[in-house]
Amino acid sequence: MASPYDVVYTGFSATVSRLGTAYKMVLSDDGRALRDDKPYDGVYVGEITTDYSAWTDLSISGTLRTGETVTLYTGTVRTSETDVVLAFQVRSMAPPAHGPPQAARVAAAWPESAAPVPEGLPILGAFLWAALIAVMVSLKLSGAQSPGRR
Amino acid sequence: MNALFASGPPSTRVQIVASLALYSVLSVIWSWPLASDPLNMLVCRQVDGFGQTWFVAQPLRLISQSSSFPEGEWLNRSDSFIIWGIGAVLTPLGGPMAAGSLCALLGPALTGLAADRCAVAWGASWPWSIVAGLAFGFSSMAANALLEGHTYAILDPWTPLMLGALPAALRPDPDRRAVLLVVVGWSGALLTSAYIAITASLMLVPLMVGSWLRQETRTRTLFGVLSCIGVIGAPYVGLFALHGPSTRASQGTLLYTYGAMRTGSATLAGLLAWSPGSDVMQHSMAPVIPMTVTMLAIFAASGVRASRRLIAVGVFAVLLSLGPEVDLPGIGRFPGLLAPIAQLPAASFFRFPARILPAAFLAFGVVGAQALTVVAPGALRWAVLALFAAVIDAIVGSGAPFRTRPIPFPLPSAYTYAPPGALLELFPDRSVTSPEFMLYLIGRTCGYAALHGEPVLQECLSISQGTDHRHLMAGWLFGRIFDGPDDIAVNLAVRGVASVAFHPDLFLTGERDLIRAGLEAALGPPLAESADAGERVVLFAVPGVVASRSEAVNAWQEALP
Repeated sequence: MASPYDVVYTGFSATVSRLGTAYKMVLSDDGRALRDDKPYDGVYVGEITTDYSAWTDLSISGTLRTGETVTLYTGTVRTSETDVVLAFQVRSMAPPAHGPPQAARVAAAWPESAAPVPEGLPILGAFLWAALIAVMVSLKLSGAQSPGRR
Repeated sequence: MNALFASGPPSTRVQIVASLALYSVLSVIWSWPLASDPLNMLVCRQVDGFGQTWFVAQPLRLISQSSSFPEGEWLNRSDSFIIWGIGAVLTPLGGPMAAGSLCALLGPALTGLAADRCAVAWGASWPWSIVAGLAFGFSSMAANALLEGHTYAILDPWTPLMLGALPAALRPDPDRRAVLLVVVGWSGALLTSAYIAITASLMLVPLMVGSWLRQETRTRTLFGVLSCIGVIGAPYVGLFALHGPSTRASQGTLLYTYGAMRTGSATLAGLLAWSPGSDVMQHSMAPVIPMTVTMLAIFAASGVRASRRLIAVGVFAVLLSLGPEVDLPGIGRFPGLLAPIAQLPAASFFRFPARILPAAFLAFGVVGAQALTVVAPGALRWAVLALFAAVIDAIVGSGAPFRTRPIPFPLPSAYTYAPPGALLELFPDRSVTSPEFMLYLIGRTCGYAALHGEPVLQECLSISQGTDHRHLMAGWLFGRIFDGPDDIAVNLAVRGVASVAFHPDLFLTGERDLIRAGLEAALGPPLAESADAGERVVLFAVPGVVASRSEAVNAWQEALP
């Protein structure tokens, strides 16, 4: 769970229901909930291990500075994989008084990182790879002749 | 390293064995952990793998008796007829997951080998032809098919077979065997998938017509091949038109078609890389271009006198794959080559222009192999480096080994107690779930049907949610359960329903108890209950004499009370 709006939310919790059993957990950002988690990066995480469940009921709540708790997401998500990372990001652009609070599903790369993946990063890496290949190929190909043009 | 090539190139047989060994190892890595348990595991991130599991278990008849009970479901709009045939052979031997797993494991290897030999046919030499095998057999679109679960699309040796036979078929004195292989290759592509047939046609028609216009190909050859294709393609089109709407149900609006085509198109930025976000929702569409062969093709176009016609075909395929609208970041959006087609109602069936891209992968792969063949004698270390770069493209560029996940798919044990007869799956309607999640539920329960063997009321091939017998029966049942369950058992039995599988985890806490209590009042205590395969399933048997299929057909003519 990530939020760029620390001024609004002071913490997050989630209720996860699998195979009819509900598990409540407080998400934390102190870097201790997950291996290699970066502390205080604005990404709140939690982890549970249960029997395999093909879907999961999920409810995410945020705690406001006033102490009030608001629901950011409720729904059933597909969890057909044996290890699933469910990452959400607060999308409300204003404090809840100015509009319905909500969070949206985003991609994450845990176990490498619990943080949402910046979409531009792979493109930057691929661009550098393309540039490298382009330089490599251009150095050798100019002036060569083909085995047969059709 | 030069000693490796000092005694001349190895024999064709050695080349084939060495290439196949390389592709086979890569294939296992590519789809890992599928090879560890191919008969009981899926590795797809999306929902099509469940539906494919059901489809391959169907006998080779145009109407399936396993779904859409009691009438059965027409299978004439199946995307792939080849996987159907493979399934007919393998399902009795290894279960309904065998055919899909075989395609996922053998597909990249055989497809890669075919592309490899195709490059040799176009003048490249081994081992440089391997770059073509990697670019086509292990492409990002093959990864897309693996991750979405329609693994039959990975097994496409047909398009390279067709392209590889073209040089000999288009000569002024055509090799008849090559002409036959062109037709066989195109037909195989058609029977593998409609998109693959479009890809093959995009390569075949321009290359043949271009060659004929240059008077390099006989008119008789051109019209002979086109006539054969027409004769073979006509029944396919006829079967498609025979049953079903002329636009995708509830999706036939022009606005939807245009939007869907845009979503299924490649983008200029997306051609560079996939990201973890590619697999989060519904599709695993990340059409990434293999960089090494693409760069080889680009520079070959100016420097090496390689097959410029192939390069032209590849560039054309890339432009088509961008769909009806091209987004130039920071500049604006411009109409794409498919903009006129997106206005046609029938285009609602053509939602994934990105699936044309394999034509570019194969074309660039062959040109890349040609370019390496030219350069390698004077720059062997460099050429080997390029070969390694192509391997990196196949693994990192497609991302397949990093994106697959083990998906266990056992049958919940409650189903094994189902009495003979139709089974009604009871889960919430799409009005309370997302369309994506609904597809997941339908796919999963159809996959269960392949495992338990009893017919189900929902459609399993059609994507028209919300109109089938399951939807009608479940909706009626929910209404009756809350109103008073007196006539539930009779109405189920008279319509041939022998059992009801209730999925309580999918309902809200309060309503699940009410529904269960209603079902127990109407049908008696559950026959079986399980929580051993990723969900809780409560199975109820319908008491009384259950109607036969033919009796149920008549009963379904009348509306539910």
